[in-house]
Amino acid sequence: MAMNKKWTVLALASMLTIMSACSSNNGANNGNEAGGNKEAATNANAGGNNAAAPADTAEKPDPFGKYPETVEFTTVRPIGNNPQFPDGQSYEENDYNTFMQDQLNVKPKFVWTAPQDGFAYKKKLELAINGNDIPDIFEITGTPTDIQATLKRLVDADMIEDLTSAYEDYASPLVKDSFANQGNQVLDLFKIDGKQYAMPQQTSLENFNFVWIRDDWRKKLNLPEPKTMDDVLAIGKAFKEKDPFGGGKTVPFAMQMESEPAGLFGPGFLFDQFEAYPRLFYKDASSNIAYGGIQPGIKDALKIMSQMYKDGLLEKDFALKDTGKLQELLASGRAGIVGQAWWGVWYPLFMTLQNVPDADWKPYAIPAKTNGKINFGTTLPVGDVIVVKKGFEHPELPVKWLNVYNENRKGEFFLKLSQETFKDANDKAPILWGLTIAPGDEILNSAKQIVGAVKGEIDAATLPFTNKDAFNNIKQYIDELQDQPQAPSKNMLQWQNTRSWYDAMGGASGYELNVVYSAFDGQTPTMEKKLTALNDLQMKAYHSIIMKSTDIDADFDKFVSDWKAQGGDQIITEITEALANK
Amino acid sequence: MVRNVTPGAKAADIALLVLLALAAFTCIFPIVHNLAISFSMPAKAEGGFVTVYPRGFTVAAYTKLFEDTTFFQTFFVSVKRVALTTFLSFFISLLMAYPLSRTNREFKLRNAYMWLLVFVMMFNGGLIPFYLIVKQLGLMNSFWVLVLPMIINVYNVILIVNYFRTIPKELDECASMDGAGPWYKVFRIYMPLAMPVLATTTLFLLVTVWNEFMLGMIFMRSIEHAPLQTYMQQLVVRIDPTLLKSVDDVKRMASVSDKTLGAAKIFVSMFPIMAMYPFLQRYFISGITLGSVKE
Amino acid sequence: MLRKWSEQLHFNLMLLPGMLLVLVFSVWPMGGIILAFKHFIPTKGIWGSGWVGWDNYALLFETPVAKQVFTNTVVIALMKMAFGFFIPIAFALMLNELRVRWFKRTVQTVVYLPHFLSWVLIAGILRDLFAVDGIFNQLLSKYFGVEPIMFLGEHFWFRTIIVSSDIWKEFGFGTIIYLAALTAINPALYEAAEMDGASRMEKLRYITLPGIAATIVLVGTLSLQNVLNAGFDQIFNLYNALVYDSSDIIDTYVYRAGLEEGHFEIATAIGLMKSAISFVLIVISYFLASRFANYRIF
Repeated sequence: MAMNKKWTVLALASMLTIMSACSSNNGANNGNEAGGNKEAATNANAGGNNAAAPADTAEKPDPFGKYPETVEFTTVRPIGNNPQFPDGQSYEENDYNTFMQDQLNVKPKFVWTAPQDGFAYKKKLELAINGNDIPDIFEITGTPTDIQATLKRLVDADMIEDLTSAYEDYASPLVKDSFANQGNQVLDLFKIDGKQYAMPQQTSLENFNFVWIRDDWRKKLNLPEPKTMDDVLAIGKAFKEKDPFGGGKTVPFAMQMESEPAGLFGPGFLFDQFEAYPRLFYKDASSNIAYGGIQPGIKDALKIMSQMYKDGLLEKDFALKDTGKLQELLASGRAGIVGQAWWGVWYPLFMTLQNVPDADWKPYAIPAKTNGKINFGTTLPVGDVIVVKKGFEHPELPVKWLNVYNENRKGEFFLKLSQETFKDANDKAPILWGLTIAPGDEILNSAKQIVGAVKGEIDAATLPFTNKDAFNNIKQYIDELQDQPQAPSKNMLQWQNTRSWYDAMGGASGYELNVVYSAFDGQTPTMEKKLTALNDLQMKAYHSIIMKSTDIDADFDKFVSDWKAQGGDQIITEITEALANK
Repeated sequence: MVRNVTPGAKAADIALLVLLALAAFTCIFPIVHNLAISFSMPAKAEGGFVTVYPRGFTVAAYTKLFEDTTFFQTFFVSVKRVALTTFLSFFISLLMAYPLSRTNREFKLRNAYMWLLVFVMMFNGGLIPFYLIVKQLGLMNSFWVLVLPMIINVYNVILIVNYFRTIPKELDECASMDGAGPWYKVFRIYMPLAMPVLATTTLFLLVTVWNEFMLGMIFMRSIEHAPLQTYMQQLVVRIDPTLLKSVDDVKRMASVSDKTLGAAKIFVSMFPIMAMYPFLQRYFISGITLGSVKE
Repeated sequence: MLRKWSEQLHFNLMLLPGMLLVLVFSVWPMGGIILAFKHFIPTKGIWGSGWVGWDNYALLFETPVAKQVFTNTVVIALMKMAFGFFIPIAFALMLNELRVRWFKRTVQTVVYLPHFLSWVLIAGILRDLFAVDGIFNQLLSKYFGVEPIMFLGEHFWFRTIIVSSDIWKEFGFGTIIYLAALTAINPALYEAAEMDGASRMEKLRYITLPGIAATIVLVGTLSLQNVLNAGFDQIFNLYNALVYDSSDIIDTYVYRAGLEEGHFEIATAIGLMKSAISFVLIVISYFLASRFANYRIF
């Protein structure tokens, strides 16, 4: 909700590139199964039978225990488009899955696969659910609210297993600790009547907004590095006036705001300046539920954006551009400033360098004027979930699978696999259910270690295996490469590691963080009926304030009262009640 | 014909010519523009400099297209599907049309059948029941699910029926006197005579089947078993940058922007229809004319 | 008599393969229509799920959505019908006046073409053409100094594009039927008129138009049945969140409610309502067609 779904997906995709061993089965980063395995699967009734499953009642709970006899199960999976894998590897059969299967002695049978893209997976799953045709174990994708709604329907129809005891008995200490690190809130999201029905993904907190600036332009125009938002706006104005791209085609601020007020490439960095979180229901200072989208801070940010729009710092049609169009714009090299997370340089900013070899993007963490902190509003860091069909004999299987995966995701085996076997593949980790369960501070801690090692404060030899790569690249870039001409485009990998780990995350770790979590990630009755319309109302109001409004105060007040009257107040009341009853 | 060619008439003629040429140009422009884009340098295409001829001519988009195995897999699924569907439909529709073209007196159940057909043309039970039936028939992931539901097109059947009715009754009666049964008459008398309308309905169906994209999306186990339009629908209409995430991947993509590659794919997807269409043109014109304009 | 019976049998046999397909893929699923009055629980199936009466409709009309999609559907469909009715007539008449045969044939060939291309692909092209940095905006700003327009993002322009691109795709094909009717007019009439010194306009008015009047009436009445068909493939492939308000039609809403949100009862309910209204419209249009154009569908 606070963050665009794509944003989450991208975050995961980027993680994949950065820490190669950490793979996400979130689907968007996967391609098609290569069609090697044509067997069976035609049988739509395969769902129920698991011939090989032994009913070994005497089995003691071992989180990593290998089944004595191969357990076969049916499943489906989301994939990406157009996979390019080494020979013999596919989404259905690959070295990652083989490793997992050997660890546990299990064998998945894929009923179908579908691209995450254009929600093909979601639609097919919706049909399978309504056709009472679900596989033994499967992943549900979407926002937490979407997933909860689907989960509720599955439970109402008595289609899925209660995983409470499977989790209690089988989850590994690492998994349990990671969930506990965030107060088990993520697990709780998928409880119904106190019963755990799904195993969720939990990612590390990472999507703070950074301001990425074309540093080569900034240097060319002799502008100082920005410390405040005013500096950033000044740089944007200079880009407008001096037109470093040429031909009047410079776009000072590349921004996306089509259907999410602060999604990927969105104006989140501006909202953060005013501690405003446009899609978040959170607890305010007096512990009341508040909706971020109607707070005065939003109005202040919108005023700035309206001025930016008038000054031509934003594209005339920025409100219409989808992610694809924004990516094209960024790749073309016309954009000067864009808001993105720390991993922006891994996607898509490096594309600029391929068209403009002189380009250099650098991230800046800009603390808010209001409180001097890096503000960050977020829903719980949750991704997809896994559920088990009612009656499947091994409800603990996905728990064990996630144990094994999370134990190994940062290990040498997976890392080598992605760096060697899957070196040239467009999906470096086509693993089934590669759902990370990470403590919230995993990435920030890694960044601190790496920066410390580069600065010589920590012995580099003590770094964990996955961080050594980044360390070596950064060290090389800072010590040898950065002053050479066209350093970024000629040393892409070193540059990317430096900009993301060292400049972005390292930079952010120098400030105090102010993380505001959503207070409620479920769905109330009024939300179900009216939230979509309210969100539309919000987007329309923001768009018209930025692009047309002559009296922002009045228009914003009008929006706020409309929002409240059309169901907003009702939702806040319902959330308050729901929380009181918890 | 005697014509009085006054200057005014001449001017009117020229105006007409220009107007019609303009209309024709409008019809063809988007397609030509797309073709031009597909042969342009990505940078020129992105910049919006391309109108009706390529700027910075290159075949890079097509080279890249040839690496896309899924495109060709789905392309052949489509070809197979169209061939099989139109073949089956040709005979099945022909057989249906003959009894339905008899009068109510000649074929007692004729009206009952006809009303049923018209009824199903209008109402449908929705996706879930359809899904359940496909599942029950064991057609999930089967190539046949792309074919069977497409075979009967009620509108096409009615076209053929109407055409059959324009064939003089005497012909039928003569054949009966010579001892010809209904099967003989369908294949030896009506089929040859009805070739124009059969060509029309076959062409219509061919186009419909080639352009259909839902069934593949819903029932096939993975995209390369689905037809081309399903793949195109996922690709062209919703280009998702999350597809590009590894450095290597994007390196490849960078030389061929989405726009030129997309245009190339669109063009290749249209090509079979466009290549065949001039040859079939005279059939569909005569067919639709005879089928729908009566008396 | 025996022969008669065996002939009837053969007739039925001939219909068998086709009817089997119709029964399996069209009639059998029709039982699903009852979902409109049920609360669907997958494990209980369509028949086993409980009845809820008109609740699904009540829910539907509680939100502003139903009214909006109905209005959108009718408005868009009517606009398409109006323009799609007159333009093919005008175009056919103009083509008919042409004396250069090869040119006439070329124009015909070209204008029929778009009808055969799929909306999936056309949408792909249109999105680029009408993008803010697309060719139309480039030309507008170059020659007229017009500021870039968000064609696909503004209600007015989006609807305009929906209607005009539909006309663009179908008008050529729509002329076929009129051209056929025109060839059926007896040339002797024109010759006689010329003898009498009739002008072009007079010939058009007194010979050509009456000659195709029946066809015009027929096409007009038959098009009535499309009042609720605003074009799923087209809108589905072109629209975006910015213009849902003005362009979400019944068919696209049914699709989204069902497949994207999992509310199949609602999808069925609104779909059934559409079918029912369409049925009435079709009966009316056929009645009118048979009354005024002496037309029978079969």
